[in-house]
Amino acid sequence: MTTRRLMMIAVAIAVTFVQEQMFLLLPNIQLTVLLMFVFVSVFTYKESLVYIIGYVLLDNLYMGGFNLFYMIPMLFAWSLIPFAYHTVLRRTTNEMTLAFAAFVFGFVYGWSFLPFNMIQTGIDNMWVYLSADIMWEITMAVTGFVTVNYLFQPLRKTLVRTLESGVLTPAKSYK
Amino acid sequence: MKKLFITLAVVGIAAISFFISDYLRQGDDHGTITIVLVDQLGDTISSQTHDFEVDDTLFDILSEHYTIQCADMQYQPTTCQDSVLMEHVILTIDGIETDWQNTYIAIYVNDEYSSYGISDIPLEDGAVYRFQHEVVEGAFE
Repeated sequence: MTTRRLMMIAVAIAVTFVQEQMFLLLPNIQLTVLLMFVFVSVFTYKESLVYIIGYVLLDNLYMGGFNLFYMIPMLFAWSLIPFAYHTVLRRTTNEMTLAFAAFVFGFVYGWSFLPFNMIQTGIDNMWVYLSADIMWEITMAVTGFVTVNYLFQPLRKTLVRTLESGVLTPAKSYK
Repeated sequence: MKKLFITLAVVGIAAISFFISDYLRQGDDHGTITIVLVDQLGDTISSQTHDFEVDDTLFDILSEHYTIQCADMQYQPTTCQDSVLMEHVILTIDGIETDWQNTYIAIYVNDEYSSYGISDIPLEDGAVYRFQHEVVEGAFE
């Protein structure tokens, strides 16, 4: 992995983390799913995993705790995006296909916490957790669907153009 | 245009789901509830009954009769008036003090673990709401 690619991953982690903090006031309404799809679409699978591990570590470091009951499902759930993108989604850039994938992911993300929350809270009836979490899952699913549907292509084009230009900041030319 | 219609359909279904969920979570209009506080040793430190009317919430009753402290966006202690979360997270009720990272206040309704937070629990006549100090499993203490 080149230094340039490592820097891109570092910038991607920073952007994802900062927007998450900006949207903290609105539960489950974030651009994280959109940014994941955008960055994963330009990163390799290996780079995507480095990006996700870095993001999860930073998020848990800042929000405190390093609670394994949150970290493990977070890591697992977010890793599903590059996995799905490079397998079932076949690296598509069709925004509608990805929007539906983002919609499904909203529910999968919530479900991945289910076994850990059941252990942590002692609830042995998973329907109790599912019924309480369903509205947050719908919120995340709809947010992912709408943002990916409308913002994936413009953001991806901008990112690809930046990567192809060879410079991360525009150079001023004098004639 | 197709993209817009699909988006509106998805948002519309989500909005309907919210209304149905909110409707199903209606409690009683008035009645009496019992609030029990249990500390970290498992001892009951308080058990009081309170009347409630239409539009009262469990949070309203708590803030009126008990000394409570809420969490801010970073889950740090703050006054409940300064709490900027859309829904309240309570860290302290009278003698029960928690820090969110290692300990939290679990809410039991009629001895069943509540799957809803303090802002979403409906009030039911005759119900017992138990606030119990709990240790977070898996936390680094």
